[in-house]
Amino acid sequence: MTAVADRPTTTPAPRGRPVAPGRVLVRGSAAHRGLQVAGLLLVVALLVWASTWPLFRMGQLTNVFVLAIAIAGLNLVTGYTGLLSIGHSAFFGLGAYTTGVLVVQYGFDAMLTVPVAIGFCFVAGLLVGLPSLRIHGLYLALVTLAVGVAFPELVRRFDDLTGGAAGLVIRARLLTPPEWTGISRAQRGIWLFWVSAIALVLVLLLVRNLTRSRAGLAMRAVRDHELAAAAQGVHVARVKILTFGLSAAITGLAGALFAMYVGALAPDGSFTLLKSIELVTGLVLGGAATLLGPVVGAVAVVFLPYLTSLVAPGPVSGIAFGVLLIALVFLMPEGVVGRAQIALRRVVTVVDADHPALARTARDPGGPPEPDGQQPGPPPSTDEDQPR
Amino acid sequence: MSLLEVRGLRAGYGAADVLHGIDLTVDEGEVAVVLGANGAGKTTTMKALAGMLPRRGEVRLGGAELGTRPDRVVAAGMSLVPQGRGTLATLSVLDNLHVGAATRKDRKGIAEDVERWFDTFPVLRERSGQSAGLLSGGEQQMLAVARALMSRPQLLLCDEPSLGLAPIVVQGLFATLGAINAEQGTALLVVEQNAELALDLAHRVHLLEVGEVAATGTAEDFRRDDAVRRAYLGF
Repeated sequence: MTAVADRPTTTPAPRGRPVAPGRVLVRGSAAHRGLQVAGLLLVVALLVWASTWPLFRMGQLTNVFVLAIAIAGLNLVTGYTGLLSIGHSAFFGLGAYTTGVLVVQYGFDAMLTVPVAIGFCFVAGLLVGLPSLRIHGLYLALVTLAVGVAFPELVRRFDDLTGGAAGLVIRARLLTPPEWTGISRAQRGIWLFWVSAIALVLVLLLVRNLTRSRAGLAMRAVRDHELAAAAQGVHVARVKILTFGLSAAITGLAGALFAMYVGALAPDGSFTLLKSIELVTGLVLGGAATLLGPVVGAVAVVFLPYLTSLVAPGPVSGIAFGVLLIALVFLMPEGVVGRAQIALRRVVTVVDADHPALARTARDPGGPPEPDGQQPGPPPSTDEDQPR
Repeated sequence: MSLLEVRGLRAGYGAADVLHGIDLTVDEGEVAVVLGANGAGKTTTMKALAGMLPRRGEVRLGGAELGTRPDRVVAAGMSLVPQGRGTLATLSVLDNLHVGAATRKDRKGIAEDVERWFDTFPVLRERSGQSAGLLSGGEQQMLAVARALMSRPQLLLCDEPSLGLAPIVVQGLFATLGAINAEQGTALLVVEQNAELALDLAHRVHLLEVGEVAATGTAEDFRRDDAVRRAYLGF
C-alpha cells in the first residue's frame, strides 16, 4: 500500500479548453450591454412593424404572446424546478374565468381584473404545489392531471357564475380600450396586441432575473438532486411551493389576457387537458429551462399546424404534425432554443465578471469593476484574513 | 462538552426502525469514524442526523437541539456529503459550490471560500464553468466535499466518500480530509467501509451493528483488540 503513496492521487484531467480572448463576453461589459440593447431595439422594431399588419395577423401574434406567457409560467415549475405539471390548463382557465366573471357579472374594468386573476392563481398554485412536498415524478404529474381534469367540471358546476357549459360571453363594449390610447372599439386588437407584448416582455424579464438569482439556483438544485440540495441547506419545501405559486400566477396572467383576446369562454374550449398538453409541447419544443424557449414554443404550437395543413391537407395534416413533433424531439431534445444555445457557445461565451476562469486569461479592461494590479492567479491558500 | 451529542437516536423507514437507540459523540476538531457492515444503519444514521429522516432521540450540536429541518441543521453548522456524492449534474461546478452556500448571505465571504476550495482542489477551478455531471467520479467527490464545506460547518458528515472510487483516488481524498481537519479544525464524522483507511484518519471509532453501537473507542484500541479486529474489520 505504501508504494503508491507518492504517485499522483488522480489521473490529471485534461485542462478545460482555455477560453480564447475575443470570444469571451464579460457580462455587464460595454460589448455585452451593447448587444443587449441592440437585441431589445430589434424586438421593439419588429413589434412596431408587426403592428402595421392586418388585424387578423396581429390577432395571431397576440395569441402567440399569450401562449408564450402561459408556457413561461409552466417553464418555472417544469423546466427549472423539474416538477412536471399537466394541470396548468386549470391555472390558465382560472385566470381567464376570473377576468370573465369579474367583467361580466361584477362590471369590473377588464385591466383591473388582471392583478386579481394573478392573485387567485398564485394562491391556487400554492395549494396545488403542496402535494409536491411528498409526491414525486409521475405521481405528482398525476395529481396535477387531476386538477386539470377537474377545472372544466368546476366551471360547469358553478354555472350561475360562469355561464356553465353554455359559456360566458364578454361583450366587446366591456373590452373597449382606455380612452387615452385613442384606439376605437373595433380596433381593440391593436390594444391587446400591445398589452400582451408588454406583458410578455415583463414576464421574461422577471423569469430572467429570478432564474439568475439565488432562488433560481435553488430551483435548479432541487431539480438536479433534491436530497443533495436539502443536504446543502436549500429549503426544498419553500422553493417548490413558491415556484408553483409563481408559475400558476404567470399562467393565470396569460389566461386573463386570453379572456380579453377571445371574448368568449367555454369550459370545453381552451381549458381542458389538451391545453395543458399544448403548453408542455410548446415548452419541450422551444426548450425547457431556457428563457426564450417558451416564445419559440408558442410560435411553433400556433403556426406548425398551419404549415402541416398546407403541406398535407385534410386529416393527414394531423399525422404530419405528429411526425414533425417526433422528428424535432429526436433531433433537438434540448428544444430549439437549447440547441441554439449550444451552437452559439461554440462562437462566443458569456461569463460573469468574477468568473474564476477569467483569472487565467487576460482580464477585460472594461469588464470587472476593480482592476487591481494583482497578478492573476490563485491567492495563497488557507490564509483566513487575506485582504481582497 | 462534546460538539455533537447523540442520545437514543431511533429512526427508520416507514414503521420499521433501523436504528434502535444510538449513542455517539464527536468532540470539537475530532475525526470520528462509524464502521459497520452493510445494513448496520450507517447511512440511516447520517440521514437522520442531517434531518432527512423522521427520528426520535436527542441530537445536540454545541449543546443546542438540532431539530429535523435540513436547512436549519446546515445553518446550525453541520453539513452532509451525501452517499453517492449528490452531484447537481446540470449545474456548473461553480454553481454547485454556490448551492453549498445556500444558508449564507455574505457574498464576499462566499467568493473567498470558493477561492479557498479551488486552491485545495485545483481541478475544480479548471472545470469551474463545466457541468458538474461531466466530472469524473473522484472529481465529483471532491466537489461534494467542497460544496458541503461552503456552509462553513463545524462538523462535516461524510457518507462513504470512498464509494465507487479507485483506491488511489480514495487515498488522496482521505489525505485531503485529514488536512482540512488539521488546518480548518472542522470536525469530521465519516462513515466508511474501508476500515483500514478509516482507522488511519480516525481519532475515535464507533462500531455499528444492526442499528446499535456495538463498540466505541480510539483508533488504537480498535487496532490493538484482536477480537474486534478479526470480527469486524477483517484484517
